[in-house]
Amino acid sequence: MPGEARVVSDARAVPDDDAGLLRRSASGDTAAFDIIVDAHSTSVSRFLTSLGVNDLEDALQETFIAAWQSAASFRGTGSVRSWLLSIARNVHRHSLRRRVDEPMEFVSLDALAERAGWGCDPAETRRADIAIARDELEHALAKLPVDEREILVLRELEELSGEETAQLLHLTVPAMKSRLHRARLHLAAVLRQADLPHTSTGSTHGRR
Amino acid sequence: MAAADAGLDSIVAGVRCRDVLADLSEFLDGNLSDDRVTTIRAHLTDCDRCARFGGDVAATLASLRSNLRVPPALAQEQSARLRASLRREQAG
Repeated sequence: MPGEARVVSDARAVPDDDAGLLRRSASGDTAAFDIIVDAHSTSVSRFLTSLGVNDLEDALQETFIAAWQSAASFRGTGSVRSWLLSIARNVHRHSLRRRVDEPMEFVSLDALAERAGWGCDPAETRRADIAIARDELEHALAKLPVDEREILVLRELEELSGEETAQLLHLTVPAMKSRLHRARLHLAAVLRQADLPHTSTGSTHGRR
Repeated sequence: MAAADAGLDSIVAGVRCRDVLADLSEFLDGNLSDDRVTTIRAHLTDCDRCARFGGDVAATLASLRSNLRVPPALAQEQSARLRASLRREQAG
């Protein structure tokens, strides 16, 4: 019904999309920026957590302060959320460059697939019909290299498009896809390895 | 069923398991051409190992999305401190 969306006159309730709110923020509208913060702080917080920041609260504040300061630079080529996540990533990279650059063990895709259960005895295959518990997933994510963890958060949890994710990570789309594929297999491998002590030691005790 | 000793080099329905594995993410995301989807489906129909593995990976991703998609809320005090630090910045 026309006009219905404008019944409430409170500035915080005026319908506006993120980009509009950010434009208002760039003009000094703190109420508009509050709405942005309320809408996206949990996503930014989760993303920073996935990157392994030491001081989450500090990084969160730094991210939103940087976003406030640079609101006018938002070009609207992607979503405001992906722009915020990109700022969060820069904040993290500046503070933790040493950790990001630390060498990781390289595991081939073949080896990852085998660790994740390709070709294994069906009796030892993970219970595909049983949902994996939240804490199990969180522990598995935490064991992945940071570049794989962040791409899983961006694509699977934040549901950014492939193009947005590639842009945020400064990757080509094919490179982003390749990293995502590896990250998925790695996650499945870590989950299966966590499950293996139960499956292998218990294989003669009722495991079907 | 693929020959067990060839591992990922097994060829089933004209496609190597390794190549199906390489395309698995794109297959699950629905990004492959119709022809490629048909080829991979034919492989999966005859290759237990790839079919089971693909199902496991899909189930893992479904669990990830359903369990963790909603980010945990910030603690009230954390939100308040975030807002306070912004206010200081905005006032300056």
